[in-house]
Amino acid sequence: MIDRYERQMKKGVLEILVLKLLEKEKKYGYQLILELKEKSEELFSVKEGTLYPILYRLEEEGLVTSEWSIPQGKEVSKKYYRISGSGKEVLKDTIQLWNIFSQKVDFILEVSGNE
Amino acid sequence: MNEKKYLKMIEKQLKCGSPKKKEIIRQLRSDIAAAMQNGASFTDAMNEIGSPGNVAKEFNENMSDADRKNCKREKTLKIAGILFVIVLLLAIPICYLLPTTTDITESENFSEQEVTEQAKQIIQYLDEDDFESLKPLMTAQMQKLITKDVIDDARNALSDDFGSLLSWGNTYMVEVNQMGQNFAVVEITVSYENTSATYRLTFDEDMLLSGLYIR
Repeated sequence: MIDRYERQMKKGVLEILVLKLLEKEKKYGYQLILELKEKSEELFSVKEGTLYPILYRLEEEGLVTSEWSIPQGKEVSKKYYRISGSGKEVLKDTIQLWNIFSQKVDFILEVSGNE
Repeated sequence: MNEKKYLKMIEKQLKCGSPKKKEIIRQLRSDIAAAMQNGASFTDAMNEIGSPGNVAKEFNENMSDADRKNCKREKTLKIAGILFVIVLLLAIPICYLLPTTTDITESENFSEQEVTEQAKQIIQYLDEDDFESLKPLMTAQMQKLITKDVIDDARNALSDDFGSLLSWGNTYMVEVNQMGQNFAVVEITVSYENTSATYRLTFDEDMLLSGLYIR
């Protein structure tokens, strides 16, 4: 039961987190997987099957762009994702929304807890 | 399991269009290489990504509706393609077996005049019961089949006594191609003293009689 809630909550915020991680610099999929895992202290240990469809969706919506790197020597080509201008705006709006959302959720949970 | 087999197994179970499948596999290959550059073995990288079934399942669950539709469209096209090939494979032998007719005046194999003359010559030999002269004008198979008794039976079905030949009637002819062979088929009506008869004669490319029908 708790797994289902956890999955739904994670699904809801993953797009914001991915956009946030791409805010400063371009990154490739595996790098995003490692960063999500590390920065969330393993709460967001997502696999490729979850991350890539999110990146595809963000790209379709024009919030990120992508390009394959030109491999150097024996290196394998990597697909880098970069946040777009509209992606930055959406990120800004969704962060605001998240703040309001979490405040209200916290408030209700606290009030309900004290009643 | 090696990398190629692992990725192939995932690709097979993905439910999206081919370009998206190729993109996913390319990215997974890139991730495996990145993990191995970080010191992981291929087995570690594979375990980290998950079993082929689970990886494909997760992708499929999160795939967009457009990608799912592309998969269905490709499947439908694939089935339609297979059906088309089956129909084509069935149609080729059927077309080969079915005779096709063409205008004999445009034929490269037969001359209208030669066919008419040969047909009339054969009818005259039949009227005269001259089977010796008829023999070299027939295929080996027809030589065995056409006997005086057979011809008499066919003629008696129309009239006991045809009488003398009075005139040649209408003549129709076509070239028939069947199973790679060409034939000239001529139908000619003959008026006799006591009846009229229609002969249908078939000639092979050597102008030998290979079929005869009298009515």
